[in-house]
Amino acid sequence: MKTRNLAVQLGYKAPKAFMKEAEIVYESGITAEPSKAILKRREKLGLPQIIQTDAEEVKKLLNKTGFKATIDGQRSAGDSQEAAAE
Amino acid sequence: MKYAFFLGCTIPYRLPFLEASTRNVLSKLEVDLVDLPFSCCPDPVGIQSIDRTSYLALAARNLCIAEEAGLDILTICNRCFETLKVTNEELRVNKELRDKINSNLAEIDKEFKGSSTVKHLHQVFYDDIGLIKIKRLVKFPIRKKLATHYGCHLLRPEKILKVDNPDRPRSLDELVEALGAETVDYSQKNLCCGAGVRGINARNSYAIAREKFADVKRFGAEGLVVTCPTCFLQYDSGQLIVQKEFEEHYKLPVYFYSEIAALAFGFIPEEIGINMHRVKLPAIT
Repeated sequence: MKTRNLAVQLGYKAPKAFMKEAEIVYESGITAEPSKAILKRREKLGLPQIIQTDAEEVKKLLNKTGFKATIDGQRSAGDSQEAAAE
Repeated sequence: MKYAFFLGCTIPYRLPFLEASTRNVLSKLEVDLVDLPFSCCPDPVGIQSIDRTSYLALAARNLCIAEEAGLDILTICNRCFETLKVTNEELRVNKELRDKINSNLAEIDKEFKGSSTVKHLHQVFYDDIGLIKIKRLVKFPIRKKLATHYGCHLLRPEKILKVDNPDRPRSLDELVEALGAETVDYSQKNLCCGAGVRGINARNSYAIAREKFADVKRFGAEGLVVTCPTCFLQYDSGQLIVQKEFEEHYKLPVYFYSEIAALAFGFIPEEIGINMHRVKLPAIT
């Protein structure tokens, strides 16, 4: 895991799916948003409302750990690597 | 028994019927569930690969929420289980790491203390409730030959998760047998579902699932029982993709353990939304 983290820090491009997931978690604290169809199914099944997490608190924590900076670094590394490939 | 119910992201937002069967079965078994404002666990593959400190800090925030409520965590997702259990154990024993994570948590006025434990639903069924009580509650025995799939994140790292022998697991088979079903041993029992590589190479991911379907069928199983929503998605929705990509039709029903327990305990299919699966299911009781 240390090697993978180091590769990301050094600007080697992480898989797109991982980075997309990281951005969603940073923004909302979760990896998915319920669609209308799912909310309807939940209601039909008699399930309780989903308790939302405090997304701002998650963001604050991930700013402190440097996660946001890592995501931004990956984005610019990705752009420059794509430009070099072209 | 009372637990903080950690649903994760996949179940409430994509597979609510798995939540329905779990809530119904646990209510029958007198297990109380408390919903709390948890975030993503986070994912032990993607997020951990990017930055382990952030991964541990976010997991520790979830553990703090349970600690503040004075509750242990019960999760029904293998990936959430690995993340929360490993983080809890590592931070408990490694003071240097705990101090580092707590210095981050201080930013949001939280502190990890290590006062809660983390359990997977599988452990609650097998260790806490037990086979005897489960057998006693069966009204309609499951009359099928079923194969079991434990999933990688339920069993490894073995020394920390302590669920079963990762090379020769038996506990889920015993739980399935307690509902009246016959279990089938098959050669690819420990094969990963393949979901972990889906975001990198989808065809390879479904080729792994295809290998499992073929093997399960070869050994005569009439369905596959899982304990993880990611494995469930890979085998249920994934079967339609395998059908399209490889032109092979397996028609293999996939069940979450709480679904077959619910049916055996007398819940009707509509109550647990089992008709919402992508692969059509036969009557099994």
